[in-house]
Amino acid sequence: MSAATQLYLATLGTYICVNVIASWALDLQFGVTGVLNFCFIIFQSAGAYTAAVLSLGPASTSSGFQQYIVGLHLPFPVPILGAMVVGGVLAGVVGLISLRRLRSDYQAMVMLVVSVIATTVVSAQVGLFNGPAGISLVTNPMVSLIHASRQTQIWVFVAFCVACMIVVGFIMYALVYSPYGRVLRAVRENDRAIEALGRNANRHRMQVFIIGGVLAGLSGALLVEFIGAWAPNGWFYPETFVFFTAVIVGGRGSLLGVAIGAAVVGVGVQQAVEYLPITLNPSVIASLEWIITGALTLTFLWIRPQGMFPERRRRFPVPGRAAPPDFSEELSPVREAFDV
Amino acid sequence: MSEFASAIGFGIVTAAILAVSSVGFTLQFSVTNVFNLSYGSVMTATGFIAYGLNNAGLNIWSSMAIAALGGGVISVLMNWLIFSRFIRHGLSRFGMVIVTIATGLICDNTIQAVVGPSFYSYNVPLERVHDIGGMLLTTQELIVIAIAIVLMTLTHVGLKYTRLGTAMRGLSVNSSLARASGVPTRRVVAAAWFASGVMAGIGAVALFLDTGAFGATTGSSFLIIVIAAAVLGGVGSAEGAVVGALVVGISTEIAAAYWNAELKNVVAFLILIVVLLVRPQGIFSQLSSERTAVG
Amino acid sequence: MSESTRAIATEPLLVIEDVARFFGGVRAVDGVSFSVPRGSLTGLIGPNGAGKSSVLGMVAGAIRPDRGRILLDGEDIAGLRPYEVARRGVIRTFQSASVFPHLTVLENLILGVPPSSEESIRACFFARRSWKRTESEHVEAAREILGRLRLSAHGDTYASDLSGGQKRLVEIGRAIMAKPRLLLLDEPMAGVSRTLAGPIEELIANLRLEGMTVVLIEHELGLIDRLCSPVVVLAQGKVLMQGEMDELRADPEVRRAYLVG
Repeated sequence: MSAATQLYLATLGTYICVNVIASWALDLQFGVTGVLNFCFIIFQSAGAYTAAVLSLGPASTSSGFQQYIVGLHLPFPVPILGAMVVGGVLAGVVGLISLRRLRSDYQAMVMLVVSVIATTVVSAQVGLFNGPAGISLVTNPMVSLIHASRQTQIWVFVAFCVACMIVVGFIMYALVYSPYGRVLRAVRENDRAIEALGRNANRHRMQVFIIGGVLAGLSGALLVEFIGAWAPNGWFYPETFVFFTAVIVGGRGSLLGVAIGAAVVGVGVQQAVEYLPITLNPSVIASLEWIITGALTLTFLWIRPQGMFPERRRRFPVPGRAAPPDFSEELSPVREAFDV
Repeated sequence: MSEFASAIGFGIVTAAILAVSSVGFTLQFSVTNVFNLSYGSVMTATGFIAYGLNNAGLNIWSSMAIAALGGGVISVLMNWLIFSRFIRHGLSRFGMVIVTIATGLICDNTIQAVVGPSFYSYNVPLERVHDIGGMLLTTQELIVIAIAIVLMTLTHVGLKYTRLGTAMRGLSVNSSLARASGVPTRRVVAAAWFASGVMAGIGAVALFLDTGAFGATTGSSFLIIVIAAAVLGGVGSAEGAVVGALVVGISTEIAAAYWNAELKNVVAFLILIVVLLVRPQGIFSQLSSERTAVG
Repeated sequence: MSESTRAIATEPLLVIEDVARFFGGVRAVDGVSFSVPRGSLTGLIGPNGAGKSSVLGMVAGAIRPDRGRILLDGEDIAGLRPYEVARRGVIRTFQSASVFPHLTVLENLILGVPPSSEESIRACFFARRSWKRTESEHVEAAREILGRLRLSAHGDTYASDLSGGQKRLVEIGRAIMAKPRLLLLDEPMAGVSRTLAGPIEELIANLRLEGMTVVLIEHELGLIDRLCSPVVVLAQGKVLMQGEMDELRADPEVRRAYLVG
């Protein structure tokens, strides 16, 4: 296999893992608990920037090439852990100001604005994360960790991403398919009723907001350590929407569905457009990807809002009889999805 | 002192542009209860329609008028083809927000695919600057302010004294009651979308004139500021939108003059967040929290 | 039974003391006081706008009283948040049956069980066997209640697929799972078909036999007459009268309030 093909496959693999982790994070917040996190992208970015500035050396050593804060040149895996912590803390702060008793579309507005403020400030304050040019020259941790060929280093990193994805998968499974997960879904379904049954809906929303922030931070850290750079034009507020599409298309609330949605929407759409038999100039390609993403969302919301792989109906085994099959493909009516 | 006066001058121009845009946004929201996040794309589209006409030789004000009509048509089509169908399909409030975002993305990126990443400008004659009490305003800016004042007056009078205006107000306060009283909902809703599109068009051309250089993303970037003004004044209230526009317009320009020009929009954003947290219904509140979308 | 136990047993479970609530300029509730005897099925009636739902809302924590006290077994719960009130054993139903639409009937019922450590994040990782065991116990209890509700065939049906009356049954069944000290029923017959009205009435009547204290808001006075004792009449935000249904029926002021209000 040629080096180019290997790099291509490795890139595909990493992007899929990162997108799956991020989509699961949003699914926990939006799919399971019903929190319309319209500033999701800033948590992934916070993780990316954190990992970058923790793994890079001090900015002064770059002799003016780029400016940024911190710069501690910390070894693997500290930058990644730092990214997760920052993602969680930022989520806590944003959650405090936005998870209040507002009607859902107003709440979405607050989060959208937070997202816009974030890109505006990061672009304007060049000293923070090198402004609009963004941070680059982030090296892959495997380069210093493993003494082997460049290809091997990359594959080890991909394996690491896959391992992270599997661990996150187990965590998601434990959280969602449990009494705790059931309460989360109840918060989504009818928060007035769940509060009348003794549970604090907003505390649960805050919890999934923070957990989601941690996971989003992890996804950002992995991605930046692979591509080596991160800039504001890669995380403007519409980027959150790509993850929403992944969750909607895949099947909100369903872990498998969202994973597939992440692969299809996050990576598949982009790859499909790249390999169209017609040659288009790059900005048109980017626009086409967005148009397809938007069209996918509208299509699914119209004909199959529960997604390709809908949330499973929980059936409990009747004592004395064999357990009924758990998975049931329901063609639920539209009204069931997104019921406020 | 003259710096202050000129900042106020810029603020009034911005407020004029904002007022027209925000009233369009808020009027449509008050009648249909749909938070239309594709409004920015409509602005961009109309701004470019005007560019096409202007580039072909038409003067900017006629281009504005025709583009505004185009904006009205686009908005009505968007509602007829997309939004109203989803509403009738039973999609909830936040499902609709996602629908409007998706529509806006498709619209924006179609425009971007066509016009590319470059920046454009209108073909306008050199302007004379007038000194009005320390504020330095060009002829165009004065015309924009005049248009805004006329439009706001027309809107106010229209909402209060015409049958259509009363029907719109009825739908905004209590849609089921209005429907039951025989208000021709579909037609009034279409009229609201049309009006909103027209104002988006006028606001867009005024904005593009003001910023000088514009591109495929200018409309969407401006949307958040429009929403800030609308929410501050109280979404659903036309007077509120005007007050909100004045506050946001002037405060952002003062911030730009005395603090940091690049961060002037952040002022608008912070205003929006503070309002949403402290008094989400805005200054002139009109809403209850349990309204359903009308399509 | 000792003196003190008998004394506690006869103390009212819920005492509402001079509560008031203003919405804008309207005095929705204007100095309401009454008590709910332990183990009773107390009716709360009155014309539209009398303030019944507001009073219930204040007890349940959904509305904050502008003044007054609400004593649950001596503890003032006025102003507590709904989930705090629920944790003290006060469960309520809503005028429009509040089920969880995209959860099955069994899941709806299980969520009636009071919150415990099994629901925590910690339990997801460190107490899996424990919560699985407890869950099957809850499912058993839920199936039993399902039988009582005569909905055994619908255990795995999504709650949104049920009729209005069936949803109401599930809502009440869920409340029963909570084993509340005090159950507040806000117009349980609203949206219920004639076929299910009977079974729901029977269900409510049996609650009293199980020792639960119930407060019932209803417009259908026949139901109140058959089930409730005592009955409190509200009109224009104030308590008009309280007593047994026959006394109230005969009272001219009560009749006037219903005609006018």
